[in-house]
Amino acid sequence: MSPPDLRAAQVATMADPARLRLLALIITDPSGQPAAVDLAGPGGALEAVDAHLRAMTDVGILVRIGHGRQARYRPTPDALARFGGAAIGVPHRAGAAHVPSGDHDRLLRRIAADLSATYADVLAPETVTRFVTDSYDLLAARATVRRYLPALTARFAADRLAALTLERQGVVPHRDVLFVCVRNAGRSQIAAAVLRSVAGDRVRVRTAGSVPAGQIDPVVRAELAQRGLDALTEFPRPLTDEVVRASGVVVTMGCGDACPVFPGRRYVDWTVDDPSGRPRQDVARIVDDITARVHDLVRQIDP
Amino acid sequence: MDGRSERAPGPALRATLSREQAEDTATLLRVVSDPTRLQLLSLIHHSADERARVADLTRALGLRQPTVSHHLKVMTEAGIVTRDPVGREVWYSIVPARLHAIADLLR
Repeated sequence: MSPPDLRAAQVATMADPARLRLLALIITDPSGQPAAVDLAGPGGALEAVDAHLRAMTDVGILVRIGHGRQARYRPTPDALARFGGAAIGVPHRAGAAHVPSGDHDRLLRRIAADLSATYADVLAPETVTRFVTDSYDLLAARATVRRYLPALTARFAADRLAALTLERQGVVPHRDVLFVCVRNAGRSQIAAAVLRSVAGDRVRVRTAGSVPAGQIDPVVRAELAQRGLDALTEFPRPLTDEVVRASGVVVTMGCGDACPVFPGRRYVDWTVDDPSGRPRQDVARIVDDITARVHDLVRQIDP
Repeated sequence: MDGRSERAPGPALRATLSREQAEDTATLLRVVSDPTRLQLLSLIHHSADERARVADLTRALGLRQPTVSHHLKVMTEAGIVTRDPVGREVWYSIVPARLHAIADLLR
């Protein structure tokens, strides 16, 4: 299909309220890549959801990871660029969906209730609520755009709770990697994007920053996109204890001292230039440098 | 956010897109889900002052004038483009409230 025809096919495929709502759910899903069963909800119409997901995958709106019942779905860069605003309600126009700040409390209670249900067997609801509130405060302290805070909080809190649960169970997966830099907007995001593309589902990748920025560096984002390594759904996160505890390998870049040290983790420090404020050609060189280091790391942890 | 999605079970933020908003956007997408209409919108959007005449569009796309006029009429009736007579000419532009949604589709 030629690009104009593919675009028209994508538009035709998304001209369906159910698919737009599914895309909104996928973009804001705490895991970033839900399965059909997560989207259908309890007692939901799984077959109908499956059919929508297949149609969206066929025209390059979603990428399928895995097969059969286990298959998970992620939005493509096309989906985010062309339909992301419509789906998650960037308030471009009067009447478009957006979340007024006053509603954040209500949304946080819902996020806490949903996560409490998910972790009902392992964590007390009070713990979950505390993590949700704390995650929101950590992100809000640096947010330049408040509109996305509830969606980001849902994902940040879900990641932290998953890490906390692993740690409580005494499981430290040796191949889980945490990349930490100062702003979590450049170096750690590059490393995570490269590792995800190289190792796929075999390695769980997390990122954090000691002083996180408001958003991923746009030049870094452009350079990654050009190499087909998209970090479009990622965002800078503050460094918290439980993600360090839950990672077997901790790679620091320019912030070694800020990273808490726990026994049994492998700490690696990389001396890599900060791409912040650098021209595109420097950023490309930094991405090359980090890519080579990630390949070395993969050879060590995932032989 | 409508009451229905507020009560719906499932992941957090299930209500980011209400039913009415989803239907409104789907209607817009249905009208423009045609390669020629998307090309017309792209030409208008990227013209000087973000407006164009039927003759400009006919020439740029190599289409017949009635074809271009038909597509423009449908999109005008759907509230996506607006016609603005200036003297003896008619200029077409994208309705401001729809501009960002259309610009996203053209990326």
